Amino acid sequence: MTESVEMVSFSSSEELLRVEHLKVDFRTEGGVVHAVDDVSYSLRRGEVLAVVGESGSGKSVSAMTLMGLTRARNADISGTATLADGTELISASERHMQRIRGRRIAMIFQDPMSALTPVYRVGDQIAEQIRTHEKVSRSAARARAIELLRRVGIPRAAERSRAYPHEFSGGMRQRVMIAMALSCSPEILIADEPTTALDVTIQAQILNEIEDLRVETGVGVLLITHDLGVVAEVANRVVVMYAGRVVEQADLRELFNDPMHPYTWGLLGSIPRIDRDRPHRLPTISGSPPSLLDPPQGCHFITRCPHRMPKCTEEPPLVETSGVSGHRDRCWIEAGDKRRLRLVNGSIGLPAEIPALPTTQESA
Amino acid sequence: MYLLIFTLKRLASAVVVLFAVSVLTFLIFFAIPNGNPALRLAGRTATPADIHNVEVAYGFDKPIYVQYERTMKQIFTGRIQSYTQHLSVFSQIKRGLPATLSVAIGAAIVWMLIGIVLGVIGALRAGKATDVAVSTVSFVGISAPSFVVGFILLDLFVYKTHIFPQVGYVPITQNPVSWLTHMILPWFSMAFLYIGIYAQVLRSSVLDAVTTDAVRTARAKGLSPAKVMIKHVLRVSLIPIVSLWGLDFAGALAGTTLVIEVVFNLQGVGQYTYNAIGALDVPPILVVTILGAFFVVLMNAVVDILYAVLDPRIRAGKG
Repeated sequence: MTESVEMVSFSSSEELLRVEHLKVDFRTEGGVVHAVDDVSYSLRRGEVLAVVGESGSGKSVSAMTLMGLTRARNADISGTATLADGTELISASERHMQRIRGRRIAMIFQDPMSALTPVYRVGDQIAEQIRTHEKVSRSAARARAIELLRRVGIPRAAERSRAYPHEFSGGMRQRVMIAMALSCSPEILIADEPTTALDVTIQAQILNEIEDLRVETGVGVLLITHDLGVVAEVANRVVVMYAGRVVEQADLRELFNDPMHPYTWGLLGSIPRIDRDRPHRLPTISGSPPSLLDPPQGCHFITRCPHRMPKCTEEPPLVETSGVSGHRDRCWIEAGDKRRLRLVNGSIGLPAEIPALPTTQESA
Repeated sequence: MYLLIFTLKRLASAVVVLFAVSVLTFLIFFAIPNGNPALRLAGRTATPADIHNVEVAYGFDKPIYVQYERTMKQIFTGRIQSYTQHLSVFSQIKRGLPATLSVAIGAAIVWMLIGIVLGVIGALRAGKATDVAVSTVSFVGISAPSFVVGFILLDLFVYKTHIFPQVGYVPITQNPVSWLTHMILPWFSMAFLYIGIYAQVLRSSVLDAVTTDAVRTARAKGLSPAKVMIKHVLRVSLIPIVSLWGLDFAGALAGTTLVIEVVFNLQGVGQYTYNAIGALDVPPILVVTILGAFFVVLMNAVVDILYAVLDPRIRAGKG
């Protein structure tokens, strides 16, 4: 823990959430899984912060941990996550977290088809959340549920509020989930892959919905996704995670125009582009992420990085290398070299071939 | 409209089932050796001539389908009598019914409640000592025949310790407390098997349910663990249990009560049937079998309706 990650100095009045040195380990039969390894970021009012990474990068686990949903006998959680009023989520009691979940931080999930309990009417499921946090009558809660459903674009909301989840399409169910998440006017909305399970046309609608809500209510959105297309569309700032760590964080424009970490280059290089000739095959990042049971020493990306060098077996700090405030990355390569190395056939990407592993202390 | 079609379909299948059951039951007593009822009707010292007279008088010499038709007519007019006692079968059944229903309904409630409690405990403590203990007790229950359990309970709580009164049945109208003390051992003897099954079924369906996305949503809403458990886990997990319960109740009423009534000398319909089987007395057996089959068919329909009430997805599927 050599690098002291002091978050970029946003004016603290705007800051809704500050996550610092978050670590989540799960003890399993096979050993300790280091799911989240010293992650820090902050979320400001009215912004969309995208946390990007592959499956297993720890992006979902870190978000679930903020909600207190990863607490278990075999989980070791350390670090802090502080809300605007000073409430600290990681050390808060379960009882305290119950008052925060759904009221101050709400969450929508990847698969709207299974995220609602099948035996209750959707309006009642929204009303249930309202009545959990506020002393209102059943009929008042129902009326508010109908208003929320109308707000997220569900036609004939009063009638539809009496329908069951299976009577809704995937996109409509995700709207219901959004309505439910908004029901208690949370400060923070965590959206965990909210569009992954939906058709492309529906994806755009749901993203627009989230965007509108952000503008109208000033809610801070923590958007968990693996889809850089989605990120480009709605995010203000981006945190790129790889194998449990933050490898790069920057404003959206910075990240797309001046990416500093080889993993980010790989991600950007693997997006199909309509402004270039289509290659025969989309480039991929060769190899697969390391096991979180036994991550490689030093940089976690070392096993897949074409630009690796002996120094990479030492852990690189998360520091500003691009010269722009708030743009940090975790890579040993010099900034000038990076800007040269990241160009593959005229656009940003990773070359396919990986040089032999550095000879020093390569552990099995 | 849907309900009408549903009811008509059920009635049609009930008629087919009842016909098949009655024919099979009727035929089996012609197939088994020494099944000729005239032998017993004529008495121990009867001559072959006496027996023949009885056969003619009762129509046992007629073709089998004629006999079947005659017997069924007697059943549906309610006039059927047993061969051995010459008493109305229906009035005998009516006399035994309170005891039989007391055992079956009481046991069904006992096994449902205890099964749910043990199943939830097993799921909450999955993998721990409590869970292992619950599973062990469950499998003992599933493996032990109910009459063995009955005799063990009798020996422990009646003969050895005198905690419960001697066997027999006391009508609830006569003395509710005595009724209860006489019923507790039969209930548990009968329920033990089902407690084991229900606890295991519920345990696994609760374990499935707690990891679903819907339950994660419920937790993310800020519900208390108790509310998540009752409203979002149990409410869904109980759907298969409730339907199982309807069928098992029918099966227990039409079957297991027979053994339990004999062990505890409850003088209900089951014991009446038991005696009739011993005497190869066809009319009571036939009537009880048909009633039992009818009840099973009826409970099947009730379960289907319950299922639709409990699970909105089923309702839509059938619409």
